[in-house]
Amino acid sequence: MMNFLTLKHIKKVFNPRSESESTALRGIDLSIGKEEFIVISGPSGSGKSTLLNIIGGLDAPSEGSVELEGTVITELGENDLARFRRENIGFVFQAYNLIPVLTVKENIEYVMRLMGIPQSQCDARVWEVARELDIDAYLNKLPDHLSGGQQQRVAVARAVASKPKLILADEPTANLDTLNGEKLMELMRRLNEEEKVTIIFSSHDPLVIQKARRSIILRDGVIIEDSTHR
Amino acid sequence: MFSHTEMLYLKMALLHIIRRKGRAALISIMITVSMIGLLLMEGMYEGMMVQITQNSIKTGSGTVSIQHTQFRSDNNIKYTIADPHKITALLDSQKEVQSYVTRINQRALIATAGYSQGVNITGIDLEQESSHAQLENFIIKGNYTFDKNGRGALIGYRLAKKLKVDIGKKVIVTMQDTDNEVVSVALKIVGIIKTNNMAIDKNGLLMDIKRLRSLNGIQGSTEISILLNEQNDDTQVIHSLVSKIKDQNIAVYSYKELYPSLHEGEAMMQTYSRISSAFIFIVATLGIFGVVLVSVLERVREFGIMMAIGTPFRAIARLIIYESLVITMSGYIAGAMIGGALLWYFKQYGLDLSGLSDAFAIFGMDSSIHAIVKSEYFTGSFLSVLFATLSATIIPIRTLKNRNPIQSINEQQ
Repeated sequence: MMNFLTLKHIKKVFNPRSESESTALRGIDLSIGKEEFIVISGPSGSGKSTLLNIIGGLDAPSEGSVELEGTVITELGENDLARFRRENIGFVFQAYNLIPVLTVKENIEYVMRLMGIPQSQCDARVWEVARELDIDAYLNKLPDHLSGGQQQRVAVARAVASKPKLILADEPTANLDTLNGEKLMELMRRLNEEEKVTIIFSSHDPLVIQKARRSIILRDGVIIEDSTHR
Repeated sequence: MFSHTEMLYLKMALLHIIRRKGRAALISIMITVSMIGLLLMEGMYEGMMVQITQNSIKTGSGTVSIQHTQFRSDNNIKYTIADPHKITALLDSQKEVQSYVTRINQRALIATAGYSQGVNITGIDLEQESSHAQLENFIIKGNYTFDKNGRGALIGYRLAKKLKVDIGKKVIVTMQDTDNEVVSVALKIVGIIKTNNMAIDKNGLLMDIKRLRSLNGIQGSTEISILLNEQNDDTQVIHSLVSKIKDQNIAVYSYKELYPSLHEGEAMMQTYSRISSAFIFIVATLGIFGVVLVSVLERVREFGIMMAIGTPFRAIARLIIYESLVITMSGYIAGAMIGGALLWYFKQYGLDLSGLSDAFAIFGMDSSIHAIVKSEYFTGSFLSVLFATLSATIIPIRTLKNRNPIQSINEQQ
């Protein structure tokens, strides 16, 4: 399998040279192929979220580089990085993080609008994704009027609508009950298989972890296990 | 005009404002009130200054005054313009000139049975003065006439009060003619005038110019008072007249030279107006800054999400600016409309302050002040509000720029 994403010796130190200095990642080397479905797990404070943030260009590593399909994203400037995220990466956050003043439809089409996709194409794609995720009945509602499960599906819809190459999901099921958590994982797996999207998510829920095809376990900022299930 | 994305940002800005409508309304009302205050202050100040200036110009020296070169330093009747007709013929062909009158100004002593004091006697032609300064409008008691044979006189209301004279009473006026001989004349008070020009109201007695000429044995005038269509043309008209008159004994003055205090007053009022505007601008900037900063700090996480999913930072800065502009410009529009309507009303009907008329008269103002309305007031305040808004957003935007998306998201979780 060709390398899609390459992490070279990623280190992350918070508050360097101060009393509260802490090291979250201690030299991570990782290669991920296209269309993989990966879970990063580990106890709290092991560095899962920090690693996802660095992969997604939301945070900069103290050392090391991240390369996605030939682009070294750790070397991009602020504007280029924003454009790169917009065009290549979809994010699903633990706390949904929808834009509260926009309707469900506007939230889903937001990234596409930023990309300059014509409104008619945005509308068609929103309908397609919303039907697939069973949220087409709520398109004109505000996020606050939806349940946690529905909001998370909207967040997934937003992440996939612009057809990114990579979806990063940080503990996407943490705020959902078991049933909704399982539904979400099924959904992401289907997206991975049908939309051919590479998905990396973090979790410490064993029921969720077993759905992934590749499992990476972190502890104290280092990879202690990297295994393929099925 | 706006792309779909810009429209989305505008919509987001409006929705954010609606979500925090109380705070937005507060700042908008603040701008509205400031704008009304600013417009009224500018319009009324300028109205007051124009009134003071016009009162002095109309009943006094005019916008431009022609005199003998010696007369200003030595108020002697011998320093007259010997042939005023030669000059008035020039004025008739000068398109900037609205009207002119010839006058004789002379120091004299006025006496009643119980009191006497020095006064300024002005010899005038009632008909000329009527079409020049509408002098008849200043009569507060009696008639606009000098009676048959020019034996009547008009007296300033403060002087009349001081001398305790009323309509029909006689006064004796004593003066020196061109030969320094003392001449006296008895005049009957036929009218009392209130011009709000203290030189007339407190010390002025107006009598028939022909009679005054005959008493003094002179032919000419001591002054030609000229009103211009445009007050600011004074310098240009003076240059033109000086070059045409070509007489070393004749001087042409602007009202600014004759009444330096008026000019200083105008400058002082302008400075005061600018300081007031600057003060209001600073208060507005601080107000907008406070609201924008709180609004940004409350939504750091939301902006973090927007940045995380690929919104360029400049788009977020635009969103913050749009939001601030919608709030401040709605305040500006409301303030401009209400303030403009009030100014228009005060321009048409005046602001009646008759209870303070005596106090105002000391400063040369009428009891009713008419506002001035100028487009500069609106454009100036628009630019002030725009600049205040943009200045007020700089620090909040910089505050946000110093964070990366994940810091912003985690900050308020």
